[in-house]
Amino acid sequence: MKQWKFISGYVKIGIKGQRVEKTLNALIANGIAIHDVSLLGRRAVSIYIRSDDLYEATVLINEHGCEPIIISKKGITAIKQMVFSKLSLLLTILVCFIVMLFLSQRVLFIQIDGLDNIEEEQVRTVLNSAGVHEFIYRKSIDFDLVRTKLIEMDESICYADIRPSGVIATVVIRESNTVLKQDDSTPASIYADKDCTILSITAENGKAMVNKGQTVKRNTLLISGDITPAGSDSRVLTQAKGEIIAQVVYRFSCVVDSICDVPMRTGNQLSVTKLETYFFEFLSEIDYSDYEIEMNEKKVITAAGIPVSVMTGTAYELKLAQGKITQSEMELRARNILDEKIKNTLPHDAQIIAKQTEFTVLDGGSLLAVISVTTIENVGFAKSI
Amino acid sequence: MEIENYCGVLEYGTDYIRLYSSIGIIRIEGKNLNICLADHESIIINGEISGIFYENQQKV
Repeated sequence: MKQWKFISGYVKIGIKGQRVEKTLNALIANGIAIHDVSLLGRRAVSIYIRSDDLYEATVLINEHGCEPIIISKKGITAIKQMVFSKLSLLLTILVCFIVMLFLSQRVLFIQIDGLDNIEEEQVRTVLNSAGVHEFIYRKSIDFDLVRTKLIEMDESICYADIRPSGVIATVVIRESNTVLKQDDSTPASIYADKDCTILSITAENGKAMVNKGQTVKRNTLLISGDITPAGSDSRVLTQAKGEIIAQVVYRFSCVVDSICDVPMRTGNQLSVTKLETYFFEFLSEIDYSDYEIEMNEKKVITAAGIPVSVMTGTAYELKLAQGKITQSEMELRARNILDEKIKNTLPHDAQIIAKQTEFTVLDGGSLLAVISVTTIENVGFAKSI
Repeated sequence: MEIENYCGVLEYGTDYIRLYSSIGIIRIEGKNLNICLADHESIIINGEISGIFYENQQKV
């Protein structure tokens, strides 16, 4: 009997509740044989049933106001279930591991850093021609070929490299600010294109003339193309190449008047309704070209199981008119103007490391805003000797 | 002890079990009583049985 029970599989479940006996009778009446009923307390028993009856038993126990608790599952059925669930889990982990192993050997993302005038698409085309693309096997990248092809791509590129790190390959490109029109052998030196503090200087060709930490003025010679040895009679010239990373401080300012055109309510208004759910929002039609909405009421209804917020309010028509704005509004306007200036002035490869804004109220109520932006960027430009 | 044609368990404890049957309520008394198997045909009770009664009647 025990062997048969083991083969067919059985479950030990606890029944907890006020009407335990009635629940047992219901189980028996529904053709579920129960074994080894043991009292666990005043209102709780444990019973054994066949694995096949578990679902039906659970439903019946719940229907009779009792709580079923699965204590243990025994027998071949339970072992089979456990093995299959663990096996499928192991298989999933194994497949994930193999996929991750496969992907970790490859370049999944290509980042291009340091572009100023050259288009990213151009660089990607050159990378493709050098055999570098997403999902390429990392070890198959010919680094020298990529460097050479990138430098040959555009004469304004003074430095190019590809650095794989994990699944990301970063292509670093440095462009000279002034393009030499002559051929590659034209001797040239690199100068600072703005006042800055040198953070690093790497001379690939030529002689570094400044040191790390040194503050230099605009047009200071950074890498000289004149590499004449000391005591030599004839000058030896080369085309200086290298990377000069420096810290640059920019200052921008603007003045915002306290009296200016501001949107004001005209007095025209209309009622609006807005429906909002997870995926979309719908606003009733408003004829005004410029308006602001004040919502008064919000109700949440459920449509096909999805909560929908229904909001009603009023749309007020706005028109520009001369008005006085508050200091916080002036500051906001000033920040927007300064942000636009920063966006238009800073080179694309500049990395902003600090920003500081100062506001001064001038006589007459205007606001003077001055922003200092500290960046790290490539500052060299080439000039023929 | 096996009881056939019972209708259901009215009360269950280690000292007594009350069963409902077509001829009335049967009360089984004893120690460490345990329902070994119960299905729609019969019920098997294990333990030290000291007596079986028809409730409101005499000892069987």
